[in-house]
Amino acid sequence: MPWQLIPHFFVSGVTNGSIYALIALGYCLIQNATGLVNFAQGEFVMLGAMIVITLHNVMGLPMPLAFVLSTAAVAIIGTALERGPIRLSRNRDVLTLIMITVGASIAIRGASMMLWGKSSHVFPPFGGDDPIIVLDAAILPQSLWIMALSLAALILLYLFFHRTLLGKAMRGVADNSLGAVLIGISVRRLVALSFALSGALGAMAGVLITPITSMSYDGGLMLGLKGFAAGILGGYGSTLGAVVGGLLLGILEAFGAGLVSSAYKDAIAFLVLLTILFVRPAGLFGSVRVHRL
Amino acid sequence: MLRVKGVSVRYGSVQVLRRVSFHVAENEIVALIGANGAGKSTLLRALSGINRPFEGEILFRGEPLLKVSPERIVRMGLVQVPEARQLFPNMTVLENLELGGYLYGLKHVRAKLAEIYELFPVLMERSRQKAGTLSGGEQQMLSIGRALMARPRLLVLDEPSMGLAPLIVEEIYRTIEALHREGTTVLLVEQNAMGALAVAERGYVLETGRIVLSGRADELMEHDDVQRAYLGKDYEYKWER
Amino acid sequence: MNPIIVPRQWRALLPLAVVLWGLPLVMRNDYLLLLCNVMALNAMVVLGLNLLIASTGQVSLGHAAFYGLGAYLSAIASTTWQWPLFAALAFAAASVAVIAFLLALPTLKLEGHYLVMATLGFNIIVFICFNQMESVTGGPSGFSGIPRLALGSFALNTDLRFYVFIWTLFLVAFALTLNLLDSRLGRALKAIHQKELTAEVLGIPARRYKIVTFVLSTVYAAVAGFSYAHYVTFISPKTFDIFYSVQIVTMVAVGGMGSLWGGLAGTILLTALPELLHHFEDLHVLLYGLILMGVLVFCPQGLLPALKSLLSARLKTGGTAILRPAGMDRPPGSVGAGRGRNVSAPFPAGHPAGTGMQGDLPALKLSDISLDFGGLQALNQVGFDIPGGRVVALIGPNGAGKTTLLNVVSGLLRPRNGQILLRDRSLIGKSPCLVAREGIGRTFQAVQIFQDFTVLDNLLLGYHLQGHAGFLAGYLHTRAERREEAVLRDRALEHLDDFGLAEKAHSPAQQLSLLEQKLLELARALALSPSILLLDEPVGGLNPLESEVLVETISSLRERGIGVLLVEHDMNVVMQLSDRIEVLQHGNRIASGPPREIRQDPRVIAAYLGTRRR
Repeated sequence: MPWQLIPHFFVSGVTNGSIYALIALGYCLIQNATGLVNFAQGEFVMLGAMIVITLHNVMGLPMPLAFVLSTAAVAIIGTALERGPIRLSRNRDVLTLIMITVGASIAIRGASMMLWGKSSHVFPPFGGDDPIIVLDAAILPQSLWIMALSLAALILLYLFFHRTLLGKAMRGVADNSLGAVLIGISVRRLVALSFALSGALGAMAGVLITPITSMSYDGGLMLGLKGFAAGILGGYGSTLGAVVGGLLLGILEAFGAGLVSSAYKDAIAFLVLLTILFVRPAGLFGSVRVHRL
Repeated sequence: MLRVKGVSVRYGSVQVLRRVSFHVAENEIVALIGANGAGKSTLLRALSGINRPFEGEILFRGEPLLKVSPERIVRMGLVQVPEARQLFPNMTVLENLELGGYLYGLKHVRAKLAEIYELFPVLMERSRQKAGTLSGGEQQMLSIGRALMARPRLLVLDEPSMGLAPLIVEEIYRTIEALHREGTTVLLVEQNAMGALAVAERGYVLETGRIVLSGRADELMEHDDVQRAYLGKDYEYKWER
Repeated sequence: MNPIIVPRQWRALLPLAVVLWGLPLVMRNDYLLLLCNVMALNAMVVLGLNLLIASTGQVSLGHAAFYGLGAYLSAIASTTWQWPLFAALAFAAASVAVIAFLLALPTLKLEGHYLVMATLGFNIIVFICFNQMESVTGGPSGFSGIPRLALGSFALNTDLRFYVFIWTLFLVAFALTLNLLDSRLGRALKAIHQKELTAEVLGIPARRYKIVTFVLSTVYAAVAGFSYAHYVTFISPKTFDIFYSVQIVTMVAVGGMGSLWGGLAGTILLTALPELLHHFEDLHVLLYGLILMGVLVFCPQGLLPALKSLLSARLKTGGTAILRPAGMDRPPGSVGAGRGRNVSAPFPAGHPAGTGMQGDLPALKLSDISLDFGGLQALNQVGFDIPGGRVVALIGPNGAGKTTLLNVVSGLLRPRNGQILLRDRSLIGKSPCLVAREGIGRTFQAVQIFQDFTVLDNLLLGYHLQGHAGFLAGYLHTRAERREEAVLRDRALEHLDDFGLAEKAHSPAQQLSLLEQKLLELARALALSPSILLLDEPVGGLNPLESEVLVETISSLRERGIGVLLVEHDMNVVMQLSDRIEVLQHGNRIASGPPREIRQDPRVIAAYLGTRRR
């Protein structure tokens, strides 16, 4: 039993977990605003990274600027997805809409393959390469950046949703969209905003993780699905659940891979997904509607 | 202020409203009563832009409402207090009220909140409570307060007395009367005919999608046909064997 | 007219078969032969997936896993364990079925997208396992040395031989699946897809059928996997990744979700497409995504059905024709006179509808039913009887709990406490389909007619419980199944005749007028041979003349001993029709009695109109 590795697993778990949390939040926002599962969420993550690759590696822009621009770009792409295919198919049933997002994710992936090729890309980590030693664990500066920036994002989101009228309106739409319409809240605009925010969160996740794991055109799929599993674990539709689920999944994965088997690391997330669906579909903090009235 | 002409609405394959016409003048308080299934809620949804009529027109302060989005209708001043209140149950009383003023921004919200609290002191007491935990009467007051935050020129109330005890209904009606006295135009849609007619100046009776009676509220209260519209005509010769 | 084993559409299948068998004769190109073989394999998987979608409306994004499991399991069985081929096939198919069953059991009771998630997750796990369990599967480098398919000593070792085998296999599976969808079960499955709750209320065990169809759909994939493995003799995990699942779903979507022919068309199109784009390999993935999105956004029913509807004449929706069953041309005023006479002879002697007891013996006893919705008390200790052969009306102001009570009796809602006794059998806690079996029929406020079905098929759904043929009989169109179907059809046609709808038996139900649709819904509920009927606002949306017709029909149900619980707002109808009226307000029963009394009862008047103020 490699006890001395536990802090290491923990750090690794929280690092990845923060990423999953950001991605899960993206799903959560769209779920609350529209009731949809956005399969293209993972592609937002990939795009965030890839656009930074182009802006920073190819065009030479400084990293902070590239980061911000990329986040904005993916937010716009997210809005385009909503304004385009999603809005055009308003009246379709939920399953068709979900399949449309699947199609979108495939299309985005295909476009990326053409634009950036099949190889992996990477850019240098934010704080340099030298790990910092804390309590016997070697922490990469990038990990600290990830944790810090994720935390900052979470705080900003919280302030947005609880201190601004616009954020409260978004919560209102999730709570009772009919009530929202009747007092003059433009649900359509807020739906578009939720896609934009989702895109931004995804892009952020992508940019943060790439220095550690590198990113290729199909890297979004796995991350997206794991983020989704995290959301289900925490309770789909619950923002608290997204964060807790993300962190928990990251830690489970790290410990599972470290203590049991690293070959099956990727499978852990999906085992968790299936288990939750079987045992407690509502997850930790969510509520679910069972098909029978 | 509000003129509805010949409005017909279909719900699926069923025609729910048949050429309904009525009007509400500025500063009036008008009651629209009818039994269940008469089409009241469908009519109100049409007014707020949620269901579109396939014929007829609706004019609000001279402007046609038919192609206008629900948000814009609220901005124009037609605000509805919906049936079953439609509050945000997981948000606090304060947040519900704030969102009522969404269209007008934070400054307006802060100013108007004081007025609403004066009208409904209980809401100030419960301002940090989640809306879903309030009693029926308090929820109704919150719903009215929230609608008032949206600066209504015409306040439309959809069955405000539904599910409430008589004493609370009294209080609600007194509030509605007070609002009217202060200059708000009110359209009160109710199943509870007597209560609504006592508050209103004029009334209309809706039965299976048609306006069957109209007139001064006090006259309608005495009219036999109002009772028949609810409880059916005398079919002596039918079930008398 | 009702052939056994050979599907009804054999006239369309025959040219297809001819073309398929004849094709290799004209094709000199081995590469094209290979392509066609791949097409056939895809078509097989698509067929299974299409069956799933047609019947449950749910999508699986994990069928590649079942395809892969079919391939690997039979490969391991035949190569590592040296089992004979058919044993390997049986092993693979059975294992896949069991796994699918375990997967479906918990997920199918959740909303649609949970199955998508679960199958997706499952696909990934299986894919990872294929890659990681090297000792068993050979890992990423694949599994080789798989014995070729052979029928006895005749080995299918050329592309041509496999071509004949696989397309024949597909045609047989296709024909059998057509049979299934054409049978009583197929009808029930399509109903579940469109309106699951309504299907349950007609006695159809939706959950059970959904699980069975899911399992069946995976078996198609397993068989295809088996064929694939023993054709190419080398398999690797890459073939069975998520992208393949998405490709399969795209083929279904493009061809038309739930349309078997469409699925075939979609398969051919999308298997050929990458070959056409061979030079633009990079474009492959992007194009797939765009096609999937495009089809779903612009023609979600798929290309084939969209083409069909473009080509055929526009259907007109129902007019305002008032139904005139025999002898119904009298003005409303004289309705009373016709009461005793068999006005439209709706129920001749021996008719299956209405075998409840006559007289005043209570057929349905409700007692002490209470139900809350969150903090709101929807029903508070409500209880009364509905005697056979009587009409009891349930009235009350908005929010009183009337539809809630109907839902409790139907089994759609479970009360906190209370009892529902149907002639001494307790119905509390039973699911809607069990309640239907006990003999409770129901109509709904918004007419729950299956718009895409014909009038006859709608009615036949009500007869579902009277049939017994299972899935196997459905696939094979056995003699017994065909006979049963014919009997049910005859009964249904007769029943339609009683309601004056016989001429429209083969028209789409959406062409009926509202009154005709309501009569159809009533007839369908009666097909259950109920002793109790629950009617929810039957005359809503009808004009006075049409209401009369429906009221007459309901009234005549008394003669068959059926007890009717009627929720209605139209007081004229209520006063005319009911023997007794129960009044609910705020979930409480506040009054009960004959119409004359209720009409004058001050409590009832106050409940509706309110009391005068001051």
